[in-house]
Amino acid sequence: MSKEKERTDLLRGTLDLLILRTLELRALHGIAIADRIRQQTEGTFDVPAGSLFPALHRLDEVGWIAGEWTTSPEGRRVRAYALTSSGRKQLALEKRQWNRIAGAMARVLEES
Amino acid sequence: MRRLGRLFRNFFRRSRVEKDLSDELRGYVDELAARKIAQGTNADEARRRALAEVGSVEVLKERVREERTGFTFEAYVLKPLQTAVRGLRRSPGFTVTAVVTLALAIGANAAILSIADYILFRPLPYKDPDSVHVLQMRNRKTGTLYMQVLLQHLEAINAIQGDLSQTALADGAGSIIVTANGESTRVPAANVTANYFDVAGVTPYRGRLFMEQDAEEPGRVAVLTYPAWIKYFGGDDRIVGRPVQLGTTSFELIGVLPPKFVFPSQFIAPAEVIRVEAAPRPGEGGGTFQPIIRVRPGVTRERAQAQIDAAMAGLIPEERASPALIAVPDALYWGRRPAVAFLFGAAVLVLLIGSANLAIMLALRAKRGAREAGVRAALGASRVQLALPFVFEALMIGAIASTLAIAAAAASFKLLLAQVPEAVYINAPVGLDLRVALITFALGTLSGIVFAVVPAWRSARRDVQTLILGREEQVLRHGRVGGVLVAAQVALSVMLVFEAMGSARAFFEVINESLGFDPENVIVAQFNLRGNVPNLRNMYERAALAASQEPGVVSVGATHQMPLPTNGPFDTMKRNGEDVGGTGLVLVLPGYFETVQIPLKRGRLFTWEDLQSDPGAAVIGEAAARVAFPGQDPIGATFENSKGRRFHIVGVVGDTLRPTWTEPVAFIIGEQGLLTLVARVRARNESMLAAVRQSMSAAAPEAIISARWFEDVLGAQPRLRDPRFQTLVLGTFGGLALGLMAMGVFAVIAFAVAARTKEMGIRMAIGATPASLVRMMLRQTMAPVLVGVAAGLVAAKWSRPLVETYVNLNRPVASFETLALATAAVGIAALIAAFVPARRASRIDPAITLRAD
Repeated sequence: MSKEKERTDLLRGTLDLLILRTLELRALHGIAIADRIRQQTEGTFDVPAGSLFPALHRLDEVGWIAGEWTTSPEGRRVRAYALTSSGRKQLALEKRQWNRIAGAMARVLEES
Repeated sequence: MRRLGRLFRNFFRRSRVEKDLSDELRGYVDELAARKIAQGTNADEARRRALAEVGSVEVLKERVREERTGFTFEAYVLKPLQTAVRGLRRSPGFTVTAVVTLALAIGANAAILSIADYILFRPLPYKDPDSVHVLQMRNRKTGTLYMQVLLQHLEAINAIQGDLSQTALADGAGSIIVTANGESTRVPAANVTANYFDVAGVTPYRGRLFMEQDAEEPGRVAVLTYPAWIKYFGGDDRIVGRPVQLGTTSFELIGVLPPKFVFPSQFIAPAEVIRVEAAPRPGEGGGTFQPIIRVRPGVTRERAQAQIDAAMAGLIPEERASPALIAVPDALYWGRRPAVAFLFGAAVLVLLIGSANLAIMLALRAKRGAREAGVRAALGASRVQLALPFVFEALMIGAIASTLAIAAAAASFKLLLAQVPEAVYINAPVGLDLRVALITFALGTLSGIVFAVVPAWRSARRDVQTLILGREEQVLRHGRVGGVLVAAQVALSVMLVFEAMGSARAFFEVINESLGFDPENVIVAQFNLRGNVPNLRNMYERAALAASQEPGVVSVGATHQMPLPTNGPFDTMKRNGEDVGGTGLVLVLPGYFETVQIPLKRGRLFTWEDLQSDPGAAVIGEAAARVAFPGQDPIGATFENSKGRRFHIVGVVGDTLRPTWTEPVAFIIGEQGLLTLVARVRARNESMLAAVRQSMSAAAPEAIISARWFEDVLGAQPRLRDPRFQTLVLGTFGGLALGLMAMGVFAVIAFAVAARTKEMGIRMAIGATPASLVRMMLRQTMAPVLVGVAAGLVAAKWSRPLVETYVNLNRPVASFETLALATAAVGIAALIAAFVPARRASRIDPAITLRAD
């Protein structure tokens, strides 16, 4: 049970980090965020609606991103999410953590 | 801060939040579809694929909602609560029935609990109450207890060194006239030794209590009970330390006892004014002391009793009676504690039956609500979320019902209390208080939760398809659960109705029991002296003469003690210096036997000349004759009273009603102390009562006279009131049990008929007659009823000794008749309750029914 939970937490954390990073440069709406993640990871991460929207609303609830109704470049009325200042801090923190973990993992993997 | 803002937004701007979510997701689907169109798919197909990719939008929404702040509270408290409220409002019939059922069951408990709380559970308001005991005398032969503790015994007990720490005495002192605000009221009084309240461990509410110096000059200071202080002086603080007029003397009111104080004896308990008296000196007086003893901390009653027995054994070897230590509650509520416990048990049975009803109704309701639950499950509600509304429904029913029950009990409590046997239960400061209300409330909500668990669990376990489509076998299984509950209800009802009928029988037996006299048309007049009256006999003679001259008065007499089941004898009968089987003596004046119509069996009755004779004249009862003069002719024989005065027996009269705890009585002639005048009139009417009282008052101005009808005095006696109270309570419980049981049977059959409508339609279509369908339904429900009756009979048989002891006042129960009657009553009620809904089966129209699905 707790193992399972850890894994989902890790995955969830990863998705959160991906979303925060995606929104670092500019505000985007739901489908655009998913597109961008897919492009950036060259298709490794394909975020379905079932994961995307709960994550967006979770980040919105804790205040790291803020949703706002705007008009998309295609002229649709969309809810775009922008990084808040606390979101920026969180992103920096998570980046550092991720780099540390990734570095450690890389070292372990290179040694073998 | 932000969290709080979110919480606020999520709860109070909910529709806005929800609309945003809908719009956002719709935009997502639209855009997804638009892309597919751009890739060349046609519009409809694109939309279909987009939706398929997203999956259920409702499930997705639910997953998003789970991320919201306050979701837990909303999903697990608010939502189910709303569903429950909506459910209850949508079926007012169910709600009202459930609430009323539970309220009745809980109400019965609240009322009894408030009495039982004091008599059974609450410690008495003394310091270290388990160390205080009452000392009474136990007749070694019969085991009966009485109050006359002999002074020589007391001295022996006081001499015991060690475990007993202190003895204090109290004595009922009749009544005294309290004059307050220009009004004179007759108030029951008691005398105590100065150390009494110290021994009991009572601290004053106002002022102070007695000190040793007070006893050196008795008749100067007095203490009031709290109720008396409120009643006669309006709870006025200034009265404490001021003089008040008690009888003819001015007393200083030194203090007030605390509100919950109760004398540890049912005979002194009514006292409202307490005066101090000096402890009797050796060799002085007998009287009816009611001593209390405080033992050293940690000393058990048994150990103290053993020490007393040892002291007695050396000193008074041949004595027929010996001092016995009695626990205060036993002395105070004399034999009533088990009876109250029994009534309390009966109340719990009623609650069980009511709860079974609630369980039946909730189970049937869960079955009806299955379809809705299925839909909600399909929409992504978790199992816990599905089960919660049932729990909340039951909780609300429990809460509303217990609130109603408390309100009803509070409103009707005065009524109930009026029926409570005064001399016994009223000693307890009984009342509906917060404690009882809280317990009642907990009882109600708890039974709600307990009985919601089954239907909740069931609804949570089933899969969506079964819930939506419904299955016949599930209906049958529900029928089985209902059957078990009905059987349990029937069994409990048989037991309760049996108890109620047993109690009713005892009551009618008491009513019809031979009193040995005729209380009809007899006026009882009590005299309270205004001052010192030098010649009492003269006063009584004047009053009696005046009353006898009143037109309509047939005869007049006087006695020291009316033949009431609470009045003990005044003195004891001795032959050659020895107690004669504890036979008691009662003082009377001529005319008494004729007036209350105690029949003369042998010899003659008293005349006024007998007052001058020496030895004095005596008339003895038949039972006393058997005890004191076995096989001899008592006429002409002599005996002495406790002070050595000799009497010779002139007649034998019939036995009269007497307290169960006293010995047979003999009557001696005399006028010592206060007397009660009795007058028989031709017919009972209130102007007659007033006329007799006025003529007596005019002839005897030195006394304040109160007059009542003997029948009323007798009716207020515990001997009558106890069974009446028990019959009232158990009768109500039995009726409630019958009604609740009938409701349970009705609900189960009504549901079975409704659930099997289709089956009935088919049966009818293939040739079943309506009557045969009704029979089929009846057969099916009467099975659990029969099982219940059988179980009830076993339980009733098992409870018979309890019923005989506590309900039937030690009378053997003609249990077969009573049991048969109880069973018949329950069976008939169940049959009627089953027949009414079963008849609906006969009205099923196969054509309509079969088309319905």
